[in-house]
Amino acid sequence: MLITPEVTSLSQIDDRSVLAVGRIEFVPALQAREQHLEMTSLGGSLDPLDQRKYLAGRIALLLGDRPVPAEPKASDAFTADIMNPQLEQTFFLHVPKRKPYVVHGAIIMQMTVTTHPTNPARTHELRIPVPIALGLQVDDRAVYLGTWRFHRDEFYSVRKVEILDHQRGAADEARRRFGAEVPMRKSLARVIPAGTA
Amino acid sequence: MRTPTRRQVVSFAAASLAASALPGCAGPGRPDPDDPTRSLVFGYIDMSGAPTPVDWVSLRCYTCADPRSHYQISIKDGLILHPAIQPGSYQIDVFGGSNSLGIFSGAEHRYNFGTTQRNDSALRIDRPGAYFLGAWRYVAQSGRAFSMQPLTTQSEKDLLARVVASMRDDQDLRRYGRGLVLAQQRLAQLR
Repeated sequence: MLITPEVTSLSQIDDRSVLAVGRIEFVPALQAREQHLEMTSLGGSLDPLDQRKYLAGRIALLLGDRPVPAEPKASDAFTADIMNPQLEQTFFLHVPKRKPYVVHGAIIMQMTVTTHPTNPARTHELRIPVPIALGLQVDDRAVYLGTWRFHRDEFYSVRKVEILDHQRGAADEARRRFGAEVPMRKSLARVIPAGTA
Repeated sequence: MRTPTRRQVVSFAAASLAASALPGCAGPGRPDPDDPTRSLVFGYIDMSGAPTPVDWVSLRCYTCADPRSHYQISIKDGLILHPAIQPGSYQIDVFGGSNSLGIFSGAEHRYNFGTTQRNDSALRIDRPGAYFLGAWRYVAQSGRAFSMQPLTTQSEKDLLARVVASMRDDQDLRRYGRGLVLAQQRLAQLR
């Protein structure tokens, strides 16, 4: 499984990848106290494999090559590409062009680890509607995907999605990050309605 | 009619000697029978098509300070009943049971009712009252999958009548006089 890396230098982008710029927000915003993440069966704050950093305040977006929703599988462990942006912050991620769809997206709200042989981790998740088309093109080097604003209720359900254009602000952040103007093609993400993919 | 969501049996494990099943429940705060802010919650699950009967449901609190807060509610003859739930937003996330035989426990089953979004049992308790979670029937599908189909043969009114009878007859529930009043008030509204 490959967590798509943060881009800190434009030299990280090659012909097979693209710099994906955007932002993911929730209304109301996710509070730290809403997530309860136990990383071992001993509970508490133990995190021997340093995995909590991928979950706390972050969303995991499984990428795919087709606009078909998918559940993460054990077999994804070696082949999956996953965007893992921090919420409420502009992300700059290295994304493979061959996987231009988000096919699964979730925040782990609660996780407990057991010693059960077939069901070791019990989770409660907040899932976003999928699939989401990123609209990547073969000639792209950098794309602006928009601000994805998910309105949620208390039952971990997304009730409304807005895809907003804040490209000017994102471009300013990119200039500060990379020390130069970064031409970005606007490709606002699109949630594909169920049954139309 | 809404298509039932496909669900999964979460775990299936042999257990050792079981403790005696105690009536009642644990949750965010010890139930105070005289607390005027609390509400009665009830529902029904028909597990006749399932590998096990259901012994308990977990009613998860989504607005409590601790995100793990839940009421573990014992079930009798399919009837889910708790007479004193604190205000908040709740839904059933998991439920379970075992094929126990006397003091020997059998295989323990744990079923996922819904842990990823709002499900059919979602309730917002904002004022004291009697709240109906719903009535469902377990329908087995392929492998470990199952669905919970809405059960029209057990209406809110029918079940509330059972609730009132239970609260009068059950030694442990009899002390929840407020809960009985809430149930009777709601039953009167439905007649």
